Amino acid sequence: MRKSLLVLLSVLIVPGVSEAKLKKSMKKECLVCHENWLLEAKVKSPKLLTTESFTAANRLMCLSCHDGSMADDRLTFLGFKHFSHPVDKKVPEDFKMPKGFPLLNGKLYCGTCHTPHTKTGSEKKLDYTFMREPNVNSALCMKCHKENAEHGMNHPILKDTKDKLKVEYALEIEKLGGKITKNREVQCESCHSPHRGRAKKSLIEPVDRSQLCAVCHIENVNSKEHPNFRNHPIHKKFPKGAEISVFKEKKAITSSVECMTCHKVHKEKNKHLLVAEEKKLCILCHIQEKAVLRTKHNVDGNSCKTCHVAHKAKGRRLWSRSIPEDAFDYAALIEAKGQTDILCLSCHYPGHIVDGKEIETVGTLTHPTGKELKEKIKLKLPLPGKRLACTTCHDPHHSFDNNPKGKFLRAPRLKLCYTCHREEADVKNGPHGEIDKKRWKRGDCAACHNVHKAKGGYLSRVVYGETSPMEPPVDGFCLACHDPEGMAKHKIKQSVFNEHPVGVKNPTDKLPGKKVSCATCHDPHTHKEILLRIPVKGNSELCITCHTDENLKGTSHDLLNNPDVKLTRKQREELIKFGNCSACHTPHNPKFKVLWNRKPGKGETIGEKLCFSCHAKGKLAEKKTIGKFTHPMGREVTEKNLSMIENSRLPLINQMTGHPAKKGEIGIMDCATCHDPHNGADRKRLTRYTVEGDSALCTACHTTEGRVVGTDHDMRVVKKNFKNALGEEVLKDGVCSACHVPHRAKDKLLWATDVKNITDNKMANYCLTCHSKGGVGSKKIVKYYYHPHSDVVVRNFDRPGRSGDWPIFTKDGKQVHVGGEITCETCHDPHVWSKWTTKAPGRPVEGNALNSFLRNKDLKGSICVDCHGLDALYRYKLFHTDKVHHKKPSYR
Amino acid sequence: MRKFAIAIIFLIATSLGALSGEIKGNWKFPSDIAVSNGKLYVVDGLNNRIAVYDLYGQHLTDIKLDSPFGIAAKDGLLYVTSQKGKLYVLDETGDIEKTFSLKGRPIDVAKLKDRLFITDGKTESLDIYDLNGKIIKSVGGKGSAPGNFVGIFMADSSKKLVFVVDSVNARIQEFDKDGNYVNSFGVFGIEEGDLFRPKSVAYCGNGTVAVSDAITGAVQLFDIYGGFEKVLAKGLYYPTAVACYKGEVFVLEPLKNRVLTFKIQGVK
Repeated sequence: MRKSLLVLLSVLIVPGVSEAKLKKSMKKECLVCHENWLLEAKVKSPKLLTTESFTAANRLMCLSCHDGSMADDRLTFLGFKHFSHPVDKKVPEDFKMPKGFPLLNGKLYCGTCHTPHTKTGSEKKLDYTFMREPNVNSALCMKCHKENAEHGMNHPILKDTKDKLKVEYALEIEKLGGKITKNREVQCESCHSPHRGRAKKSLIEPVDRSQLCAVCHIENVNSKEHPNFRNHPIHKKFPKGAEISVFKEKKAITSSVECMTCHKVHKEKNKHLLVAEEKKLCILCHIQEKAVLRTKHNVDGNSCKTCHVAHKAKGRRLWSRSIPEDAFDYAALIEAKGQTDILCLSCHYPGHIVDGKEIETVGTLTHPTGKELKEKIKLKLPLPGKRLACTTCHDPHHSFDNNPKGKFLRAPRLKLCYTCHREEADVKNGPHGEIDKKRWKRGDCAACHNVHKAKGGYLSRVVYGETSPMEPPVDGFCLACHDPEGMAKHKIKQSVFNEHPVGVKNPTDKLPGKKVSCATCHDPHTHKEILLRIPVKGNSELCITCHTDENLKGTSHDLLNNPDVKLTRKQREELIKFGNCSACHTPHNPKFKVLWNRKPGKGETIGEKLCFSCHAKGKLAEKKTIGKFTHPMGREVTEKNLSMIENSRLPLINQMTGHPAKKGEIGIMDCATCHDPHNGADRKRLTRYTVEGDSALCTACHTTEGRVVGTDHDMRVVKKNFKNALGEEVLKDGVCSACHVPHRAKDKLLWATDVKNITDNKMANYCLTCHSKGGVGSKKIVKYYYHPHSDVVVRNFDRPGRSGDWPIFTKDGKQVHVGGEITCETCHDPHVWSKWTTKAPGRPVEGNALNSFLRNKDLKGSICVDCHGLDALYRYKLFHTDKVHHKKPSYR
Repeated sequence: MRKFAIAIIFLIATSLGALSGEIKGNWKFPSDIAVSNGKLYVVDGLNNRIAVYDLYGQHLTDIKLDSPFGIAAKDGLLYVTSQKGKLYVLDETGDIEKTFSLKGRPIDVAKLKDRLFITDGKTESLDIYDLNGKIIKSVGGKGSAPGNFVGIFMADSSKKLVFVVDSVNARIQEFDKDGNYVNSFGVFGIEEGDLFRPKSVAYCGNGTVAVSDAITGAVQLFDIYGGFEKVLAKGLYYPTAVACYKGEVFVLEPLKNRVLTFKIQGVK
C-alpha cells in the first residue's frame, strides 16, 4: 500500500516542488486533488455535475483514494466521527499553533497535519501518511502536544521507557494498532491512533474499564479478569461518601474505580501522576479511614503509605511493609492464625523499635485468632476468611469514637467482648460481676481478663503466684482471688483434706475442658447459684454428669426420697439446695477424706469412720447400725480370707484414699468391700452383689458355703416362708439369711437365730436349735447327738495315716486341734450336702453315707479311729442310735 | 413559504435525477453491491458479512465472510473478493463452494465466460484467473498509459468485455476475455460526460454502461464506446458501487448507508 502511495505521488506531484513553492495550476496532476481550482475555472458552465468545491484536503477527496482503491482506510474515515483526532474543530484562541500547520477557517482539518507536498520534496524522505513533518518518535504529535510529553508530568515516553517495555506488551500494543519506536520505546502513538482510535482521545483501546492501561500495566491490575490481591482493585463502585467531585474536577473516571480514577496520563504534577497528593488521595474514597491521619498509625506523616501501597503490595490488604522473620516467629509463638494478623504483627512484634520506642506487642498470651465463630453475631465485625483476626476487634485506622489515642477498637470494649461472648455477659448479674467497684464497672471483663498480655490461661489478668504452674491453668486464675490473701478470701480452701480433684481427665463432654478444672463445674460468668454450669439442686445433676454410676436415685441413700430417713426441716432444705450428694460429700473444704461432708464417726477403718457418720447411735441412720456382732472387717480378716475377697472381685479398700485399692495398693476389707454406698446391684441394701436368692454377695467369697443352695439347709427347699430371728425372709433376703446375717447378728458366727441351749456346746446348739422339737428341722430331730468329752482330750493333729476332715470345737464354737469337742460339725458340714456330687438335690431327700452333709465317706485315718480302733466304724454308723451311747466309756 | 418549500423539493428531485427508491441498512462503509435473481447483495466488509435484501428493501439474511470487499453475481453464483487475498465462490444461499487464494490486494471481481478478472490494488493490474483459481495472466500495471492504472478499483463485464475503473486516471478501461486492452473512455472534468473520480462501473445491457463518480456525485450512462448518453443521477453523496438489473441502476451511497435505484428509461 505504501508503495502504491508513493507511485501515486510520483504521478501527482512534481518532484522538487515543496509546499512553499506551490502555486495554483490547471495541470491534471494538480486538479486530481484540487477540484476547487477546476470548479473555479468552470463555474459558469451550465453542465456542471457538481457545484461543490472540494479542496485537496477535503475529507471526501482523501477518501476518494483511501476507500479501498489506493488503500483501504475506511476505518480511519469512520473514525472522524468517533475516535479520531478532531477535525473541523476550532482551535482555542489561547492555543498557539506551531508554524507550518495550517488551519482552515481557524479550524483543524486534514491538511493541518497532512499534505502530499513535502518540505523537502524528496520522495524518499516522505512520510508515508503524507504528514507535514515526519512523525518519527511522535515528533509531529509533540509539535502541538508538547505539554503532554514533558518529562515528569506525563506518562513516560521515549527514552524514559527504554528497556522497560516488555516484548509481549509491545506486540500487544502493535496488535491493537499502536506504534512502538524502533528502540522499543513508548511514544504518543503507542496509545493514541489519530484515525483508528477505538475510544475517546483517539486511544487504541478504551480506558473506561482500564483496558488500555492493562495492556502494559497488567502486573498492577487487580480485576475480575486478572485477580491479583497485591494491587488495588478496579472496576469497583465508589464507596459511599467518596469525594467524587475531586475526581470529576480532574476529569478522572468516576463511573467506577479504574486506573484513570487515581492516575492521570498527562499534565499532572503529582507524583505517580496521581490526581491528588499521594497523602490525600486514598482518603478521598476511604473516608472512614481518614481518621488514621490523627493516630499513631500515621507514622512519620506517611499517611496510608505507612502500611499500604496501591500496587505490588507485599501482602494482603495492599500491605506495603515487609514482614520480618521475627514477626513470623512471633505469630507462631502466639498462634496468631487470623488471615491478616501477620500484617499487624509486621510492626507489633517484640523488639521492633520505631523512633526509639519499642512497638507495643500483644504479649505471649493473647486472645486467639483464626477461629471460626460458632454463631452469628449481631455487631458487624470483619472476619477475614470467616475467621477471627486482629482486625475483627481492631480497626487499624481509628477507634470507634475517633479518639486518636484510642486502642483502635471497633466498638466500646465491653460491647466488643459481649458481641461474641454473649453467654458470658451474664457475669453482670452474678457475683463475679462486681469484682472491685472502685476500679471496674459492673460486668467489666477486664476486671479478670487481659485480652492481650494475659498472665495466665483464659487470658487471666491475675494468676496464683507470679507465674501459674497450675494445670489446667484456669485453677491458677481462680486461686489468684480465692486465696487467703486474695480478693475472695472468704471463699478459699481451708480443709486439710483434699478437695475435688483437678487436673484429671474430664470424663464427660457435657462439661468443658479436657481436664477437670474449676471451670469444669463452675461458670464464673453465670448469675446462677454457686456459679455452677449444671445445677445440683435436688438430685445433684452436676455431680452425676461425671459420676454417672453414682446416681443415688432409687437407693436408700437417696435421703430426700427415703421414707425411713427422718430429716429435720433444715436438713431437708439444705439437702434440696445442695443436692442429695451433699448429704455425704462436698467438693470444697471437706471434713474428711473422699470429700466427706459430715463429721466422721468412730471406727477403725475408713469405711467405718465414713459410714458411722450416719449409721451410729443418735445419727441419721441409727436404725441401720451394724450391731455388736457383725461381719469381720479390717485386720480381723485373715490373709487367707483376703485372698478369698480378691478372688471374689469385691474390692479391698485403700485406707489412705477411702477408695477401692488399685492394683499394687494395699487394701483391707471394709464396708465398701460389700457395699457400694451410691447404688450397687442391690439398690436397697447398697450391696455390690445381690443377696436375694442365692446370696451372691456372701457366696462370692464363701464359695464352699455357697453349696448350701438346693440342699435341705436351703430353706427355700424345705420351708419357703422361713424367717430368721431378725424377721428376714429367706425368699427376699437370700439363702444365707436363714441362719446368718452380716450385721446385728446374734453371735460371732453371725447367727441370725436365737440359739437354744440344748447342750453345753455352742456348735451343737446351732444344729439342735433347728433339729429339735419346735425347730424348723423338727422332722429330723436328733435324739442321740452327744459325744462324751469330759474325761478325754481329743486331738486333731496330723499323724501318719491321717486323712479326712474331722474338725473339733471348743464349747464356744471355736475350732481347735487339741482339747476340742466332737460336735455335730465334726462329722457334718452344714453347707455341703455331698462332697461327692456336684449337684444339690434341690428337694428334701433322705440321706445316706455319701451325702447327709457328711464331711467324710469313711473313717480311714479319722480321729474316731484314733480312739475307737476297729470299733469306730460301728459307732460312727450308729452314732445317732442308742446302740452306741452308754454311760460306760467305750474307747480303748 | 409554501412556494419555497415546493421549489426546494423540486430541486432535490431534479438533482437526484430519476430517484425511484432506496434500500437502507445498518452497514459500516459497505464497499460493493450486486443484484441477481431479485436479491440485492451489499458487501458490508467491515462487519464481515454480505447483507442480502429483496428488491423491496426487506433484509433477508446475512452471509458471514471474512472482510469481503468486491462482489460479482453471475450464473447463479456469487464471486466475492477479500482484500486479504481471497476469493470466495458461493451459491446464492451463501454456502461457500470454493475458496481461492489470490495474489496482491484483490479489490473486485468480474466474470467473463470461464475467466475471473480480479482488480489488484497492489500491482494496479487486472489479474485473470480460471475458474479453479489458477492465474492465467496479469495485465496493466501502474501508469497513465492505455491499459495501465492509477487507482484501479471496481470492475464489471458484458458478454464480451470487462470494464475496469481506473479511478485516478479518471477513466473506464475495457478488456476482452483474454485480457487484451480494447478501449478506454472518460474525460477528466466535472461537467456532464466527464469523469473526476469514477468509482464503479456496471454494464446495463444494450451497450449501456453506468459509471458512478464519488466526487461529482453523479451517475452517468455511456455506451460501450465511450459515448456519453446521459446523467442518470447527480447530487449524490459519494456514490460508489453501481449495479444494473432489469433496466434499473442500483447505486450505493456508503456514507449514507443506502442503495438508491434508478430506472434507465424514464422514471420508474
